[in-house]
Amino acid sequence: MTVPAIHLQGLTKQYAGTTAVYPLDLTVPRGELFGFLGPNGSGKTTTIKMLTGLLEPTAGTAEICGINVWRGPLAAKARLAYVPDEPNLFPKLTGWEFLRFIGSVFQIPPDIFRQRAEELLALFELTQQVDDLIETYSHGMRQKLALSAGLIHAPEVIFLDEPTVGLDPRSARVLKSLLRRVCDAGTTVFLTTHILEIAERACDRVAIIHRGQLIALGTVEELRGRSMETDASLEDIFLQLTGGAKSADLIDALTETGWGGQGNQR
Amino acid sequence: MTRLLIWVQWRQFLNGQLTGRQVAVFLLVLVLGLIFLGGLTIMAVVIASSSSPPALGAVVSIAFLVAATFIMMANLPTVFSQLFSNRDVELLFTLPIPTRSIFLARYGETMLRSGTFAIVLLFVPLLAYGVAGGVGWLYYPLLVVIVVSLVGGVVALCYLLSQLLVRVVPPSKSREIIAVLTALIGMLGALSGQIFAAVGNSEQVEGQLDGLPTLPGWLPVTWAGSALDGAAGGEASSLLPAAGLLLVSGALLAASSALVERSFRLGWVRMSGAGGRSVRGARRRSQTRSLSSPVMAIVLKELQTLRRDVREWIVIVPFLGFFGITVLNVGLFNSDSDSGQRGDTLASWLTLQGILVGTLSFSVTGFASLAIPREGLAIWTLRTVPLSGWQIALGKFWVYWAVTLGILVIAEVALAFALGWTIPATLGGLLVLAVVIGGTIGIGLWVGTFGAKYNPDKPAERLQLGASLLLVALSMLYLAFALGPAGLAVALPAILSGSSDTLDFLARLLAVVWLLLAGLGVTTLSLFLSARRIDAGVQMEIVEGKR
Repeated sequence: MTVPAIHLQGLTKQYAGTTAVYPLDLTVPRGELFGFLGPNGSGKTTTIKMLTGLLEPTAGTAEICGINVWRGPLAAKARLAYVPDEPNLFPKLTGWEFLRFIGSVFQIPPDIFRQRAEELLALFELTQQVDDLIETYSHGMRQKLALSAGLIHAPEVIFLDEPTVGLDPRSARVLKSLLRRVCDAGTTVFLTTHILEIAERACDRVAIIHRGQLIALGTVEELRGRSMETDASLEDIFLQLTGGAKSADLIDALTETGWGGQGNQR
Repeated sequence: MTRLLIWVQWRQFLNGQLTGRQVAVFLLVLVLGLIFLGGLTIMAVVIASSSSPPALGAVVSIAFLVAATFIMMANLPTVFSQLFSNRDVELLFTLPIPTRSIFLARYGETMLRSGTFAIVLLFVPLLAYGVAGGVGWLYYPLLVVIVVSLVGGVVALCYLLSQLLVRVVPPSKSREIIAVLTALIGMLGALSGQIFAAVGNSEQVEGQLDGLPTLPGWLPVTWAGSALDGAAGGEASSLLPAAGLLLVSGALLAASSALVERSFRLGWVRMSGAGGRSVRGARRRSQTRSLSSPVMAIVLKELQTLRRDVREWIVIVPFLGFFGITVLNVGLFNSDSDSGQRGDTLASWLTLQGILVGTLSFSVTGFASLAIPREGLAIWTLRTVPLSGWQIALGKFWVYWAVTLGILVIAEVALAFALGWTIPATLGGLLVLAVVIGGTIGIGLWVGTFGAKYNPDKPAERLQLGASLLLVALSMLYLAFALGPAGLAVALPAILSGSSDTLDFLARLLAVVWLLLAGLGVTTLSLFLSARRIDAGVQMEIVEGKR
């Protein structure tokens, strides 16, 4: 039996009496593009941080390729990459120096490093800016550099937290295609996003977490089947499960009382 | 409009600052401030009650100069951020609010926040002086005018300098230059006595306290001093220097206010990145073909950061100041020491090694303590890559140790030339100090692993208050632990009155061995502790920025 890329058992996080993530059991097989969805503050980033060694779980285990992240952190980290939603990188390094740093840490053979770096920089259109200091980069450029650094050592598992935030439409499309390609080559991608259209189109399976609890897991088709609405989009299912549908009624009520459109004219 | 903006700032202060731990810090600062104020007040009363009180003008002008230096050091970086980088500037510029109102609200906020503190610290002791000394009635109203206009003028100077700097300094370097300028102002303030003495103001005023320099007459703080001195004696002529000070402060505020329309918006545009691109790295990527080991990757990363950000070197400035004074006083300008007397005397060698290690230790331990906090919001990068705590600690240690060794080599060679030390004595000093300094760097690194703080508005504040205090205490403890027994060993033959060449040699050997053992031992222990903390996950206090 193949060891799964990600395996969580009873993974829990509590902060001073408040439970941010309730015991979470989840298995993601190798080569899967997995979407982890949820409203703001639902526990997505907390879960990713527990999986990448940034935040110690209160209870439970997290394994990456069969290695417990908190018992064998270096071996686990050698197999993963993490791209946060806010890509704060070393501001006083140039883009190229940052990639070199990552290449040196992961001990990538120099020829392979150079080839991959050139490819990724060209793909994300960063070649011209790679000798600029990171502190001069825009949010989108830092995001693209962080993505390049995450992909350059060909990790077995990539965690992407809101990877499309700040990306221009072209780069977002490049990223989607690239993620599909790396998953087909056997890499596992675990991504969070608020753009449900991306999750619906690109992800093999999605999980929805709400108030720290896993409330749905499966392919979009499976979720659609469970929702009893055969033509429902992932957005409809998401709103139905997380209570967002109520806000549609509120918007209608506000529009009728003159807050929107013609009603706002004075 | 200005009042409304000040109210908004006040609400933000109340909502954002007075919570939990910050209340404790605020109370601690308040208590320390009150103790300091009490000390100053008692001192003022004692001076006023003495049978032959010193000339008030000289003492007050020095006190005002020190206060002005501190006000500038405390406010210049904050003012720069408030004007050009605060998050709310963008919003305020889109609202129908005159730029001058935004400026005045900012100025008012600075005066309320730190100006009031400075005014109280200056006013209360001088009031106590007046009451205890039974001075004339003119002294009291003039005291209010002088203290308020001095503080107001210095704050206005901070705003003027910020607005001028933002026009001439490249945006990518402005924060660094502000930080360096602040450090230089502090150093100039601290060394002003020596500077004014060197340029010919060393004559003693009648009744002046010994050791106090006389400030030149063109400085407004001197006018303030002479105004209060005159007012204490009931002289109406004291109104003239007071009016001069008021005029200068008013002019500074007017000049600062006049620049607002052009500089405020321009500075904000420049700082918000509209023109901040294309700062290129020194090397083209085509020249860097090879990759390095993980430890070397940390070393290179750290060196690039230190090389490109002059702010990182500020903690070394006090050492350079002290060292410069030491060389000036002991070495180059020592008229008694001709070449024949300059020999390798143990006393001068030991004294200067002690001064060197003492002054350098406090600077480099602070320097090294920033190694971990320096990562700031990018700390996640180190925590998600397969680097062990030992590799990270070792990489960072090498950088700071090598940089310090470079400074030590320059210092030792300069002293060796100045005092005619022999090559073995110079090399011996270097070897021992390099090992001893390793311990202080290790301690700094370790404290940084648990006392890290990140404040986007005050990038220089990278250690929590408790950690900073602990760092100073540990450094002193370590120096006492390393130098105490070594000094005792060297002095032992003299104490036992059995001095002989063999005994002296053995005593010195024992001292050197102890220093090496202490230095290496503490370095290893602190690196081990740092590695463990890094492995466990460095927790950094992130202060919510205004930007």
